[in-house]
Amino acid sequence: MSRLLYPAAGQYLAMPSLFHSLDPRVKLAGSVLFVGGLFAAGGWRGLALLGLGMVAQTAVARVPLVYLWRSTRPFLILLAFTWLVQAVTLPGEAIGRWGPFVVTREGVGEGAFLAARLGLLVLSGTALLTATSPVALTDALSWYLAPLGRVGVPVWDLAIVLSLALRFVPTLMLEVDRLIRAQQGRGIQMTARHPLRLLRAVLPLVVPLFVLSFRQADVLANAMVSRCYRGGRGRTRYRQMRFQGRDALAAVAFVLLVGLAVGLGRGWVP
Amino acid sequence: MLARLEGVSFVYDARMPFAQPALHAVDLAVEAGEIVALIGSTASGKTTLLQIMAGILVPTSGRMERDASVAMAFQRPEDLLYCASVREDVEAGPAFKGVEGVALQRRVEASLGAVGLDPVLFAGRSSLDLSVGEQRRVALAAILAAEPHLLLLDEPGAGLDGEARRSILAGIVAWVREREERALVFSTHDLDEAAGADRVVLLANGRVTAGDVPVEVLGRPQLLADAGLEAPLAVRLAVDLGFSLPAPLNGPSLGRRLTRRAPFVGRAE
Repeated sequence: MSRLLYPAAGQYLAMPSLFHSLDPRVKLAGSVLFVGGLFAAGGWRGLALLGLGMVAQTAVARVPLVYLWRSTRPFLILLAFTWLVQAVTLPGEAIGRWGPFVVTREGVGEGAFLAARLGLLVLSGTALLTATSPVALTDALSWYLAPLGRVGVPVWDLAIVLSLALRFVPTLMLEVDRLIRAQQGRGIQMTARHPLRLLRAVLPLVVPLFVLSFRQADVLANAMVSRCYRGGRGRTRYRQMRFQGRDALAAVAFVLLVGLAVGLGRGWVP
Repeated sequence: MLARLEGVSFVYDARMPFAQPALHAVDLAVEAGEIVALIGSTASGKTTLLQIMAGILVPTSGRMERDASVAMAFQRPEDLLYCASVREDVEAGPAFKGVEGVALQRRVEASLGAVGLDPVLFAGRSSLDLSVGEQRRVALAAILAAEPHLLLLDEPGAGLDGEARRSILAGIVAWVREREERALVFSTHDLDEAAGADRVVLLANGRVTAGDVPVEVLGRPQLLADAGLEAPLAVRLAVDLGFSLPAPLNGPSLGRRLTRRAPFVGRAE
């Protein structure tokens, strides 16, 4: 069997760690709070503190740095693009030229800030998914959405759709990796500089990927039907979520971290 | 020499706590004109070895040298079909390399013919309208159309019936034999298929435990059992009954040019 050469972003990594054993509701809420903090913290100091918090979380989760690096590496292009666009589009003091574009000091600084914020956002999502199994994540989501069920919202279905979508990210990345290697194996070049040629070059990847995705969705639907899946009605759970002391400590840690970061970023804390 | 591997090892997820060794100090050389079968149980390292030979994976240690153009078909190559017609799919690889006109037309016809598809009947059809077996043939024709010197196929007949597997492989072997300085390396779980190769390389837990003419590998039930494989029925019967078997052990020959037949006496031990 062909296998992936690097972990896909969001691929669950079972490790015996404190962070893994936390209640998924705390991890989910903490991550959402962390992301909110990223946008609320308006300065470098706040962002740096959140970055330190992310390092601490990764250490507690015992996720190898090389694993995190490889799984988030594909997003580097996005970060570089963000930085570049800001650097050449924001008005300000000119510090250089890049072709027809003027690079400004303000643009470089703002671009670096946005790229750092985006990078932490990606790391935060990856850290959550790496340390939380899809089943646990679904349980947590459905717990938070439960009140909406009283007004007729299909909460369980929404949770399972979101969970499956997340679960399919590594699967699709595996397929992308396999398709690229296989198409190159028969002499098809999948890189080009000219936009039209690039479009032609990605067709051998995009079309089979669509076909495979629909086929996998079909297989999954059949598998669910054959296992008598009927949504959340009357469903029992083997694993019960229990809020324990360590979960309370983790929740407090998340709130303190984000609160301090926002305070530092906004200048409320000297 | 088209390809040579010396002491090649490979580890997936190297430098991680869950690193998984796949190959250990593999030595292998492939000569022009050779048909080599890789056999071994699931997860024995066949696909990894093929990908290293294709240059897709870089060995963790050891050396791989290749003096040939290469093309590799992964398992389920029909997943790669993406064009509106069979012709376009088969043309895609060589067209990217700048082959065009009559030369391209000839390649398409020769490739489709090699896998048992009539170009007149199939070239204009959509790949999506074909059966899985026909799609497999089209996908393999697309690999052949690249005209590589070293052709690497990962279980080309997986999931197909015995007759389809044999006819596809026989056609590809004939395609390789008809051209100079070509070689084929294919992995398979079907030991009858492997019996038709010039050389059989047996992998067990990422190590090459045997590499010889088919009769020397497939005719040794204990060696195969140690690698988690069951010897072909003909061999097991011969050993049980104390008979000897001529090579090829079973099934139709793949028309090999090299006939290095080792003396074989299959007696009960």
